[in-house]
Amino acid sequence: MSDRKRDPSEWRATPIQKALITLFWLVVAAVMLVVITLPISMQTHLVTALILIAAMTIIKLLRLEGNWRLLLLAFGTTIVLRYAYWRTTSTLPPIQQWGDFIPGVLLYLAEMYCIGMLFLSLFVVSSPVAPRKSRRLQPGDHVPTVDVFVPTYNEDYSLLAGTLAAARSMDYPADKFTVWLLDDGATDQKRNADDPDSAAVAHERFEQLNTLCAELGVRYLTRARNEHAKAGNLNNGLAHSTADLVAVFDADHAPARDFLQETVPYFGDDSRLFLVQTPHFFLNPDPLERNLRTFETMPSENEMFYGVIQRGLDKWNAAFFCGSAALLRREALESGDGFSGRSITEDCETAIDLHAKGWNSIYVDKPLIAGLQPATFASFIGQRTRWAQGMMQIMLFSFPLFRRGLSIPQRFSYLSSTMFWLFPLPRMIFLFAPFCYLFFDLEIFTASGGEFAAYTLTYVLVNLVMQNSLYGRWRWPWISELYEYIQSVHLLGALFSVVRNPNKPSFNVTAKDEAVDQSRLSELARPFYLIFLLLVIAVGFTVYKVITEPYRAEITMVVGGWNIFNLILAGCALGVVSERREVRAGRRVPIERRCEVRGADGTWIKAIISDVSIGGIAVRTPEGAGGLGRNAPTAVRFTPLSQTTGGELALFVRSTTNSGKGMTLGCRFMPEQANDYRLIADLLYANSALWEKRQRSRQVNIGIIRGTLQFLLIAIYQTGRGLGYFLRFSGGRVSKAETERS
Amino acid sequence: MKSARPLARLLALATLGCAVVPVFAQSGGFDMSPESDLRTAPPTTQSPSVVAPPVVQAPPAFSRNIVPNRLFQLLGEDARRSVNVYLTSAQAAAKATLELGYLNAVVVAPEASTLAVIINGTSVLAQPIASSATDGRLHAEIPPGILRAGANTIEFDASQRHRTDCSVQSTYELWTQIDPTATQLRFEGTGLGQIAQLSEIAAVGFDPTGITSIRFVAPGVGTANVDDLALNLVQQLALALRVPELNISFVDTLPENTPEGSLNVILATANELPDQMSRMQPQAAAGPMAAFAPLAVAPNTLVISGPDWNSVVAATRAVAEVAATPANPAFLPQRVDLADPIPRVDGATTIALSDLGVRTVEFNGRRYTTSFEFSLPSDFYAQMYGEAYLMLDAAYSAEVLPGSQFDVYANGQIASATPVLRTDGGLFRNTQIKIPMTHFRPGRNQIDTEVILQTDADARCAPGLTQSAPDRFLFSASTQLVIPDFARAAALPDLQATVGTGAPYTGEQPVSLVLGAGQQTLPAAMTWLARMAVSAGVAVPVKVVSDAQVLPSENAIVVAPLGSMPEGLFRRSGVARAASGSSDASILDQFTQNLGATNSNPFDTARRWIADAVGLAPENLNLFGRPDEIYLPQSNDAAVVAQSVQPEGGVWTYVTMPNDANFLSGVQRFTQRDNWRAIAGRVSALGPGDGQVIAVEPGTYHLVETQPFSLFNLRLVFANWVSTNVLQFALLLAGIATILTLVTALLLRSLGRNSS
Repeated sequence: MSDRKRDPSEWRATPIQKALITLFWLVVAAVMLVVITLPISMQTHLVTALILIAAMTIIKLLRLEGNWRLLLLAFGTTIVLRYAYWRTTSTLPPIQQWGDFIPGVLLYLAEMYCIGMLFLSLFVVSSPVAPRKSRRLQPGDHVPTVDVFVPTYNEDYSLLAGTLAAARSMDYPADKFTVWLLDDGATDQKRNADDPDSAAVAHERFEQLNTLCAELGVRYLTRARNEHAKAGNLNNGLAHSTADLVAVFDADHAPARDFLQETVPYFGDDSRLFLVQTPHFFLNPDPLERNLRTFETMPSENEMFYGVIQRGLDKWNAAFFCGSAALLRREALESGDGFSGRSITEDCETAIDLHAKGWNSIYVDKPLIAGLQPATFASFIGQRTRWAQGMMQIMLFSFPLFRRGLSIPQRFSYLSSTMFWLFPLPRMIFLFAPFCYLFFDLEIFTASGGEFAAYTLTYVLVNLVMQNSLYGRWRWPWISELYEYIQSVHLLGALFSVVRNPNKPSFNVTAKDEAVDQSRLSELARPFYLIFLLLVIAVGFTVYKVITEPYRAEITMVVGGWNIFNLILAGCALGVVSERREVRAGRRVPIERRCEVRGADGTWIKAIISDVSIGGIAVRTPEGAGGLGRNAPTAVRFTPLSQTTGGELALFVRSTTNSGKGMTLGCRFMPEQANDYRLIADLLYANSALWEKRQRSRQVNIGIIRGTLQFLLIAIYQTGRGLGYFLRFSGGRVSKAETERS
Repeated sequence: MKSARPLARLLALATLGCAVVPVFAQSGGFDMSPESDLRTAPPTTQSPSVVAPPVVQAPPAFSRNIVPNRLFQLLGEDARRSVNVYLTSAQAAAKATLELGYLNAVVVAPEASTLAVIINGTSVLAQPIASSATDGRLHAEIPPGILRAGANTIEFDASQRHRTDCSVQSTYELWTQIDPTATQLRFEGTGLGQIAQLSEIAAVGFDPTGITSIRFVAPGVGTANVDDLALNLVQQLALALRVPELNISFVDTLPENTPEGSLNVILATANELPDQMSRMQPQAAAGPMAAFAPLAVAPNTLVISGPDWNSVVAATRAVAEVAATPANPAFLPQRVDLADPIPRVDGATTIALSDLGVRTVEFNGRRYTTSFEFSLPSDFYAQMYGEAYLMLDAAYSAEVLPGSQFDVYANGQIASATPVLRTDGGLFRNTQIKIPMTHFRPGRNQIDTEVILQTDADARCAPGLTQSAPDRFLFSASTQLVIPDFARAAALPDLQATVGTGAPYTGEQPVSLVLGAGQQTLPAAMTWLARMAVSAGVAVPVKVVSDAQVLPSENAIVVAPLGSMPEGLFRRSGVARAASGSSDASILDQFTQNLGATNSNPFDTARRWIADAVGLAPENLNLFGRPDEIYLPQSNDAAVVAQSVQPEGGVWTYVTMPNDANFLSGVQRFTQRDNWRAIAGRVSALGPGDGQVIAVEPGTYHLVETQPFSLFNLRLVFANWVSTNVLQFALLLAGIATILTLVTALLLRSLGRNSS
């Protein structure tokens, strides 16, 4: 079947044309390399770099796109490669002085890793696939059957109820899809556990979820033993179901109504398609966003991945499975061993296996699920540890570059995706490298102040411009460095432990629904304060050295400046590990839905639901609140967007705000029966267009200068807050005021 | 013609062998009297080399100048300078005494300062430096067996300490000045001033100012034959004499007396020989002859003769043979003023400084200096990008503080200043000291290194410290100079390369030389060529031609004052005659142009500013070459040397002067050592009152391939070219990046999924 729809205007090169163009490209690139590796003088490099940076600035300021963007990247690449050439040929300490040489080479390798990753990234995101047009199944189209898997391990009842209700409400012929709750929290093994308490918990869970599933029309499935974690659970689901396609949603990822409509049609286009992946959209901030209060304004961390990297991977047929929010083809899964479970990142591993078997994947850049992400720093690190370790396992078990069956672009793509997780190594090296000079007087980077300015500063500047050009809409300046740093401190050890024992890491389910009910220091905060202290001492050493050793003040200032950059980063990180109190798990999403709210006297008053969050809604009553006040039980009724039967949704008024003649009531959901969850899901998840709107509002490129200034302000404030929290909460104390307030 | 030449040369050598080889054969022998070898001349030869001299009464003692510089100073705390003195075998065997006159700075502490003289490695004198008020006279017997025939290295070693001051600054006040007029080798014996053998010609020596005079008696001077021969011969003589500065004159008759450092050369066929030489006539008539006349006739008179002119020409080959020995092509020939080995560096080279005459030294002062030299080829083309380095082997005592500094100067210009960061005792091997090649040049290069040591003891400066401080620093001669492979191409015009290495005129093929009218042009040309030959270490064969015979496609040298320069040559010279009656304004214009000043516009100002900020010359930021202005000499008595590349391809060098009356003295001034090394660019000029040579750099270079084509060299040449033409590099890189972008765009459309 090759009925892939083709645009007649779309030019496809013949294999000979492809070969010729590739050859031509290689020739031009070779000429470029020859010119770049000329041993020119430092002055020539500096002038050239300044001219190219000026050209890049013009391209950026005029916001030129398309080939201009490629030109900007080409100019940037030129300078980066010239830096790499100089760094390789002129700056390594002599091998005879091993005290300098060994740390010097480590730093060099870290930089070369970054440059290598830059090139892989350039390859991956050279021309990301444009967002696909919204689709629906057309009348007359073949309607494949779909099994919807919701694997769970320990998520609670109400979370599962929301997800299952949303899944059941999806817009798809009812007889063509089945929702499965794959429960690993109440397996035979768990229910027969030796510990009578946990066995009882498992029993209770089993009963409750069975009831919930029955009410929602969901199939409940559990298994004998908890083997192979999530992959085993999913494979168990596969073994008990038969539909053509399999959708996977994490227990905390509720699908939008149009999820299947937007994804199923692609499977009709390409019989070798095994995966349609969609982005993960989060209703709650991650700990950085929460503690730095950037959630509402700044693009989230994962938006860079889902906004541009997956689209870039899509170009090379290398978009990979991210564990949830995806639709897969059963035939493809069964052509192998189902979901792969060797590594603890079964999703990516499965995608590599199937890509290597010649199956295709696509990525649809439209948020079609909404979910939760780890709220506390500790669980955030737990999640990242799993990803980093899993990717390391994949690299160790089957290095993507040499993986048979993958196309060359796919190999580069997977190399990029897995190698990315080595970032803790260079990040920590960059953190500690200035100490070599400041504390131990080692010369690990032999260059004069002038050379440093001509080569390294232009390189750093060009890197910023390129990053901003590639990812500016999705990632603001220095935020990548901050994310890398806060993860590196704890991930570094995790990476080493994988190398020591590749089979050891086990799958830990990330807790995502925790609430931080009081301000405190994260339990993982201690190393951050130690590092900060070291950096402050190093600043002291810098000042001391500048004063007492004026003959090398230039180089001391360069290294000291680098150390201060690290200090700014580390100061900002103190804010990240100082957990702010926040009761509400999810943030409010503004919606405008007509409804009626039951007044104190039982009459229904016309009102509008103005926003919704996981826990509740805000109801605006234009004509007065009908006697409703704080702590009053009430209910709303509205017309659901999905085909669920309507009904009343029980609420509890928590706050009231006067707004002119009317009033806004802040209400908490009081779900009691399955239908309540359907209604909540309808409010929360029915309209995915809202999520997209919300994301777009944050995706603004604020530019390097504004971004840098803003980062500096955040860093200064967060350093202060972090130190303040340290004074208040170190030693596990929680202030009295905080306790009372919560 | 050309193919016949080597053969002709062989034949000439074969006939010559008869006349010259016996003379050589004797040179190894030891004999006090110059007559002896004449007596033992093989009777079988058809052409006896020298006639028997009469016995004359010679002075009982004879002195030789040994310092070939007008000003010979030993500066700083640790100074070492060496010279060569060439002795005849008779002088070497004679009883010899060293006379030394010197004066030193008043701040030099006698009790801690020593002046030592080392001859051929043996110390013959070591005295406290204690003559700040009057000229000091030192005197030392030289033990027998130390002096030898040929080159003798005399090393002056001064260790000087300040009386009171421990600062680095104070070390610049330390000097000892050797008086060239009072510093001599005195030999006892008779006839020691006479040179008997051609191979000992270098023993002619020099006057107290370091100049050797050659007086030619050439009856046929003015004819092309004689001029050709004189021009070629004088170069060989200069090489054989091993002196840098010559004073050349033509005389009609042999002068009465021959002061030290003078050589008479008679260049004539047998029947033209002057009357005093009548006794040598039969020998000259028999075949080519190049030999010293016996003392009685005229001291230090070299007779080059033969039955006919061709044999005179053949006889000069004997001088060439002497000039070429001892030939080690890896080094520059030694000179009286250059006693340390100077290796020729043609590519990637690592040399231990011990091979350059540097010694391992333990040092207790505060500023240690040492210097060494090497030679680069004429087509050295790496000034703008290249970087050499020193692999420093040194040790510091624990007393030396960080903040001490290691400076390197290349040809007098600061090349690098490296703080010494670690001094915590012990030996530091393999510390890299980078030396940008910016001031490296074709020909001889001098590197001076300077270590400035900071110590607490010096800061406190206890009384007597300068005299008794413990050793602080060890400079090991195992330190290596590492020169990487460098680009090789000729960037013409380049007078620096011409005066340093003879390029582009060296080779087998005679170079066309045009002489202007007047008595001074021939000696001026000879002075110029001889000086060039000494720098290059090899003679440049020349052939006098008329201006009409010069082909613009071929290289040529023009030696003529502007006034007598043929118009056709003058127009191609790039030099202007001061237009008589021209307005002051136009002269002022030309004056400012000569100085390289241009009317400033904002663009120029910006360019200048950027160039200055990044450490480049504004010319490096030119997109197009700037046409060279015609050069107007600043003074009528300014000697000018100009080089221009003819559109047809020839490289023409002009040695000229507006005023023809002082032409010879002007050229002689150019050939003084400091002036000679300052000649550079496309035009260099030196007025009579000028302290230094004014050099005008060309606006446009002609890059000429000098090496067999290789991608490796091409890459380096390109690197230097783009480092000189910075904007072109930026444009090239941007251009390639643009092409790459377009091809990448095409590639991205043809590969992977369509993304638009």
